[in-house]
Amino acid sequence: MVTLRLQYTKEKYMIFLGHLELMKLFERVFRFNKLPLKFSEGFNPIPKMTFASPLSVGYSSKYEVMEVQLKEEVPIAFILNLAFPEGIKIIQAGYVESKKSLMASLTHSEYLIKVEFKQSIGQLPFAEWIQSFLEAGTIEFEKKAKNGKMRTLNVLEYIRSLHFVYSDDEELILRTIVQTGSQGSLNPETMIRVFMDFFKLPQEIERIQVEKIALYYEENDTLKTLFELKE
Amino acid sequence: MNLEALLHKVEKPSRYIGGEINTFNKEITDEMIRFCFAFPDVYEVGMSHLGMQIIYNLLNQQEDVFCERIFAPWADMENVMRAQDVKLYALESKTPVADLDIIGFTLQYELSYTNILNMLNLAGIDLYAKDRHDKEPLIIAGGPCAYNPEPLADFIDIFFIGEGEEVLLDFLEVYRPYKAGSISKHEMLLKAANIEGLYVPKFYQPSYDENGILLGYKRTEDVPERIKKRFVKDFDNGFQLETMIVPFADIVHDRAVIELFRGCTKGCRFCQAGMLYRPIRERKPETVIEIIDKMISSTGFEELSLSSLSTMDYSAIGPLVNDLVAKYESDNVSVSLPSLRLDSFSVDVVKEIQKVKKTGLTFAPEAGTQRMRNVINKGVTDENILDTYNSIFALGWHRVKLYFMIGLPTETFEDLDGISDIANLGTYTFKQVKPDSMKKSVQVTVSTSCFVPKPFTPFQWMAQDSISDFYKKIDHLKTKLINRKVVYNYHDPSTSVLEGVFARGDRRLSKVLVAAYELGCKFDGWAEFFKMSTWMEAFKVCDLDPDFYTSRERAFDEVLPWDIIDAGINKSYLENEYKKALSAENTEDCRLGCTGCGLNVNLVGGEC
Ligand code: SF4
Repeated sequence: MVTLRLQYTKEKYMIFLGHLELMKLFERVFRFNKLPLKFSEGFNPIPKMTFASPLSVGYSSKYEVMEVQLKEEVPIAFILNLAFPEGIKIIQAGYVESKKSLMASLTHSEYLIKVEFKQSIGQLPFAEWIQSFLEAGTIEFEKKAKNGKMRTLNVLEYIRSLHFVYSDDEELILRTIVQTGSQGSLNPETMIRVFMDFFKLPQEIERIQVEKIALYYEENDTLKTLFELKE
Repeated sequence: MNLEALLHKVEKPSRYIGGEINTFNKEITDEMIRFCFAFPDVYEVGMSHLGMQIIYNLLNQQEDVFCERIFAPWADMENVMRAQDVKLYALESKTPVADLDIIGFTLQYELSYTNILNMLNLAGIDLYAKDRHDKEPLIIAGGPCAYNPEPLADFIDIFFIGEGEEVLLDFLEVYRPYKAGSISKHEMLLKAANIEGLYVPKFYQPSYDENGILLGYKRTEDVPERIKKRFVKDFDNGFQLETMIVPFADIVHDRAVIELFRGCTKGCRFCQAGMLYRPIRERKPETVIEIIDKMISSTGFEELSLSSLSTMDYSAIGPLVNDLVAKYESDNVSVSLPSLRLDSFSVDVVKEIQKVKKTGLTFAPEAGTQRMRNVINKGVTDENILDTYNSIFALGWHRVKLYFMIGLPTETFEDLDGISDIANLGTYTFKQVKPDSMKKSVQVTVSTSCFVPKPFTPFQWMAQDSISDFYKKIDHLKTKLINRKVVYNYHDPSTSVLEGVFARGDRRLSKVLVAAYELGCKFDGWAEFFKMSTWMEAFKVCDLDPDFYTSRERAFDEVLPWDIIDAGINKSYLENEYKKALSAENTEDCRLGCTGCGLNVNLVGGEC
């Protein structure tokens, strides 16, 4: 048995697939390409696949990672050529020895966030604002815990970096690395709303577009991209 | 149009994006015939429909045709589309459907008719055929409800009667010169009307007597007197569906489907499909296995359904199931059967496919007493039922679902009591025969639907029960089905009565449909949308009485709206079957000897 790891994109119309739909799609593409899938035991055998972290419907991503267990190796060139619907493309593929789970290892996600406003935002000093936001020490926000109760947390503890990329009259683009995974995650949209509230921006948000550009795991205080995860 | 921005605002956006595995996206040229297959219900329902998959693949195999799809957008999507003035678009190319050449609706159930109007309106297309100019798409329709086309006759340019595979290609032959501009729309329609199986309603004008009873149709052009249904004569060698679109969304029937045969010889008297899809035509087991292989290796489906009207009657069902299970077990592809016969043979076959999984089993005795089953000619005996219980419970099943109809001709409260007797017999038998290892308790689910008499069946003349009749029967059953191990579900009588109106309706109902649509009716098959009071208002506005269509017994010599269609079955045969029904007399399976329906003589040319 071998573990095949893939890094793939989820873009264009494919951003509208829910996580279960995406899993089904992978299963079916693997099936009709006759990959030697390894199935779970039991009444209802399903292929052994794991996805690093489910992407919210509507977010696009250049960096998704999943693993699937096969009974034996299939040439990587064949894997890279698997045809998915437009928007999903396999970028890298490789067999891994790692016993570490993707989900448990994942610590951070990097996003590009584009905020469109309903009203003009003129020329606001976003770069400076970001500095003072990051240096504010504690900025509280409410987060729903798994048990449904609301908890008050410090947003800054979840933000590894936040950079200004671009702004004009109607839109603002930021780039950020936030904590993701079993230790708790910060949703990029939540971060934007906390940011806007902090500066009491009167303009209303028309919509927020999110693109994931990388997933990381932390090793000796440095971030490494998740596809490189090794023993 | 910024479709993406729209899709961020709706639930389950994947049903509006197209691009699924095995869809087509052809390069568009001026010569290309742009066809759109339209299913007047949501994606999840429409994509589960085999006919759509057949037509889609058949048409896209034609080099000069590009077939796309549309479904009824759910209310949230409709609202954002209307708010942003986005017109209904075809899923493949995202082209507004008003810019395409032909829109083909499939008519699977009467309660989807208002959705047809809503979809035309969302597309910006005029509802009435007479108002549409030459630049608007041609609106065609087919499917089982097209056998009584009249309630939709004002909206549809051409109805396709019977199986579509061959007649669609015949039709394209007369459409091409029209597309090329060498004949007019009128000429094209006239040529179409002379193709066997095509009904162009504008060439047939109905007239009625003072009581609203149809007198007949006057032909305004040189067109055939009656429209003969079409069917694929050589089913084993005809067009074969070898691949299917693989949906993203979790649809109702998410699996590969192979048709084993068309038609059914049982002759159940309530069953319209049994009459419409005659004659019986089987696919050879070799052909079936070959198709399945192509299907599984082009779709990746993990389930395979062996489909037909009555799969257990396929000549080689036993060996076929064994072969398939052996072949696909290691790939974890499971085999499923849509319906089971009540007999031990069926139990043996399911035993094979459900070696591990003991999910519930479903059977349809249809009626509670032997007498009632004789009336409807459902060949199930009390003994069959007992035998089936004995074998399934002994084998370790503990849940069973039973389907019945209420409102059948000559039905009495005793017949209804028979339903609870059958349910109780189940829980009793379970205790007698269950294996010692069985720790779970038994559950028998009884579902009743309200009978709707359909055209081209022996019951086409009879009066349907009224809503209050149905409720009396349901209330009676509620007092009888009190066994704690029995669960009772029943179908809403008002939807069945509305279905009854349109099933046997005439052309005057077109205006009721428009009125109801304008009053806000859509998705009538969905409990959360269905509003009987709004429908009653629509009937009132149009000065038509729904009871005229439902609770009125028709005379045998009355002209019926669907008499214009020739389904190949003799009216005299249906009449005779109705009379036999009233005296609870059976007619046997016509595989055992011709029962004289007339089909082979009328349409095939020969004798049975
Ligand atoms: S067995 Fe009876 S109910 Fe089933 S398809 Fe045949 S005629 Fe209809």
